[in-house]
Amino acid sequence: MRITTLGSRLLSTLLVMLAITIFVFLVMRWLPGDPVDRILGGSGQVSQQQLRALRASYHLDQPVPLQLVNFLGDLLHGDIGESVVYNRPASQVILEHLPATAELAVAATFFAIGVAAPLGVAAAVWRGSWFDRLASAGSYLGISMPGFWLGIALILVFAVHLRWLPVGGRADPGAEPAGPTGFLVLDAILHLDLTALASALAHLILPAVTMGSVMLAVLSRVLRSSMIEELDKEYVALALAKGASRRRAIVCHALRNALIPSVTVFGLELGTLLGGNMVVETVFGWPGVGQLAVSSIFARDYAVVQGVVLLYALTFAVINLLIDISYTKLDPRVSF
Amino acid sequence: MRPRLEVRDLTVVGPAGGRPVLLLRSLSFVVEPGEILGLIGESGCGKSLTLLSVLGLLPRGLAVQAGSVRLDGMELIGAPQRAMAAIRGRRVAIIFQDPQNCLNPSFTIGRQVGEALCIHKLARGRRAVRDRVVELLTEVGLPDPEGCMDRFPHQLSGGMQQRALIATALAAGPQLLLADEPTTALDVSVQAQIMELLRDVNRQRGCSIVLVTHDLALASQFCDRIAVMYAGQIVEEGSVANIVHRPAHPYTQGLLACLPMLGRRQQLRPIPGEIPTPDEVLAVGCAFAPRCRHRLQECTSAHIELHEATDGHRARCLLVRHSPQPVGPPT
Amino acid sequence: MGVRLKDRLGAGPTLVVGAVVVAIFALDALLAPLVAPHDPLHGELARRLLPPVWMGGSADYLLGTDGLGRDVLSRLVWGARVSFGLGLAGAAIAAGVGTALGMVAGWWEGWLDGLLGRLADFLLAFPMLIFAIGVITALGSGFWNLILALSLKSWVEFMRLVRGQVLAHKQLVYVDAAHALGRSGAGILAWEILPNIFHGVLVLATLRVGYLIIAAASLSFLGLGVQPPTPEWGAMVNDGRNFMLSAWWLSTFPGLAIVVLVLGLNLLSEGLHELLDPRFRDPGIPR
Repeated sequence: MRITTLGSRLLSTLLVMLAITIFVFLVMRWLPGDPVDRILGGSGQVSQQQLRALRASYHLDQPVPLQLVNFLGDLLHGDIGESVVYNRPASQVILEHLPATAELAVAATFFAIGVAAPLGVAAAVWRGSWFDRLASAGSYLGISMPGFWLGIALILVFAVHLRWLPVGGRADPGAEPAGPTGFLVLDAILHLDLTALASALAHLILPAVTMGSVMLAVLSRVLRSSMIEELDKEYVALALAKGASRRRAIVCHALRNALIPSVTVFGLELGTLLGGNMVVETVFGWPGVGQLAVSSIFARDYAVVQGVVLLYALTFAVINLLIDISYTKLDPRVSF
Repeated sequence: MRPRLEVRDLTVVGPAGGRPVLLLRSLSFVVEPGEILGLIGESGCGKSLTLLSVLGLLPRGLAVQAGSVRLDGMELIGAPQRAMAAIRGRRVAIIFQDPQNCLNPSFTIGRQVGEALCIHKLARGRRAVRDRVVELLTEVGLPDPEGCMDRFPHQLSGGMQQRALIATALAAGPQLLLADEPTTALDVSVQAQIMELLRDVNRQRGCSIVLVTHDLALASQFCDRIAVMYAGQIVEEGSVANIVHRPAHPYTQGLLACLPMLGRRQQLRPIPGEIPTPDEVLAVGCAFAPRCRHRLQECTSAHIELHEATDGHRARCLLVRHSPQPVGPPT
Repeated sequence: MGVRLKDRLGAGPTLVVGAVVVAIFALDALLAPLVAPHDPLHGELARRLLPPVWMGGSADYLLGTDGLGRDVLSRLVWGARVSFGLGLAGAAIAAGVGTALGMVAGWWEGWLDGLLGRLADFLLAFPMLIFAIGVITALGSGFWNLILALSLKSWVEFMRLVRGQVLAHKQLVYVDAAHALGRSGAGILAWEILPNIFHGVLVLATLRVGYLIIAAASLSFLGLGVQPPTPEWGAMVNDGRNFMLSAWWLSTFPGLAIVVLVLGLNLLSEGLHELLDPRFRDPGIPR
């Protein structure tokens, strides 16, 4: 029974991923105007022969269903077309920008969880106190603030006015380690380069905070209400009655169970986080996939746009699947 | 010999409808080593609260206003948290009513039963803890103790969960067990088994037990002595024989009259009126007076002490003071 | 009912504060032509980049002027029409479509319900901005395309909410009673069930307006939403980025407007939830 239900969950995820891919394919095909014109970017005189060759390479002379099959086939080989801006395969361009986004996303997530957890627990333990009320007000504010404005406000305060942190970019010029991972922080550690590490971290702070703020606000509220519910339950009182310290009862017992509903919310908010990525990268001039997507839209570099949209959506689908699986590990009452 | 537990003039105050009211009013009772004391009362009389006060685990907003609770001579009221944590589980343990809610759904039975051992550092190493837990699970009568250890609470039946909870309570070897309605949430057939288990625990370990229940019949079968609570006070206490056959307080008499007895056709006589909520309780005099058939003028005008009817049998009633013989047998 | 309403209102400052804030912005949006001191589209280049009046600017332009000499306050006031309008329109369409589909799915179930469910799963796989970008890239930017993109993704939530509620209410006695009185399925849905679940839709819709305002502003900020010279708060923040060091107020005030309005909407939603929910929780006895 376990394996089959897990299998059906995998299958439904794959189906969704397929649907996403087809959707993206269709959307791109329905763009007004001739795809070839778009590809050429109106670059003027092109011979009929070249036009025909171009059409053939994009399978545009074939019926649409066949185009779809070709598209999927190419996709599996990692080929999503050619970037007209960079004159290289779009997939290559995207991969180059990926580590920057991945590092930012990971940092933002760590920030959000790292602050939301103690905040939510403390607000629950001290419910009704000024701390709780302040945290509640803060979280309301957090979900009301658009990411682009928060980012700009943070830049104005910390970079322009106080000059504590840099205005944008990933690192100080010349301080980028040519590392194996592409994650500047990790590479700096691997190279034991303290200047590079400091530079990378300083540049990471404001964008990560901006990107993670909404998730922080939502998670802390959910965690707070789950904790309040769990703290009232009898098994917590029993733990204390066995001689457990308050800390043990709160963290080992109540929090452990309060995490379960929070994980679902985390999965949902991860989508918001990814969505906000484009805005944050634009505000901070972060050279990642988000910024690439925005500039590609304006440059009409549709292969790249297509690739980025696919990347975001597919990543999100996979992450949701992983979260569903982790659910069964967390809650013994739920089994596949 | 020093009593195991000595509660004296325990007064607990809490908010009810915004104002502070007395929930326990000068409560006093004693539990001797090795005896089973039944704490009888209906909902709202404060019997569960009494147990929580002993452990120092009153819910938010409630506080001990006055009184003393001594466990083997050690004062518990006002003791620092660390000292309290050291005796909880180790010298006094509690069993709650609904086993389903008392077990953490995310941890295995083995881990929860053994938790007290780890907290009080009574076993070193996983092997030792595991062996001890198996012993405990066997003692409480769980079939397949080894298998049970690795199961989760939702995989056990109600009766088995309660046995596991008893094992949890016994893990660190307490000499006083507080049982708050341990069988109320269980099926009748299972109830008897659990009560037998508790009796075994009392006999084999010499553990004193305070059994809180609303079931007078149950208490009369298993307890050595009974204390009857009403509106936050003890209104009568004595041996089971005295309480059941020669009840002195009108409330106790009323309770007994409410009990249907197998094999006898009788008219059940309910006690008129309703249990007062904490803020409705009379400030002076007997709390039961408004509902009492034998009410006197003096009953509501002055504080009433526990008066001795016979040896060890006391009732908080002026009628006992007037005539040492109890007022009348239950009909 | 009137008396209880007053008791409830007394207990909830959230509702009052939220309602007041939203009302102010709504009035502002409606009365923009009367409230705004200047034409939001016309700028005096000679008076560009003036600071707000308390920082040495002119009383004519209370919040200063932007790079093209346009009055920031007037653009903010007119921007309410655009931003608030986008949020309202998007939420209204999403609520309408979602509620209708949810009622159909919950009442008749069957293959239609299954289809809608699959569609919902698919749409939920996209983060909102990503989806909107896909749609906008295909159809172009602009006010109505923006609304389309936003509501195309948002209806799912309403559908799920209403579907769940209809499924639950279907079981209750009052529906049987209506059947017995000869009401048709559609009639029951519209006249019996809908009034009972409407409050949930209202609470969600209020919340969603704020969310969509932010989404629309984000897209406009990126240049993918409303196009210049239409005053939209997100686009205004973007315009102000060029002058971040010299004229920080250009980006700050429009963003602040978004924060305050969305905060008001969130509070209103919370207040409505407190006010309406417990009362309507038990409309009938289950069979």
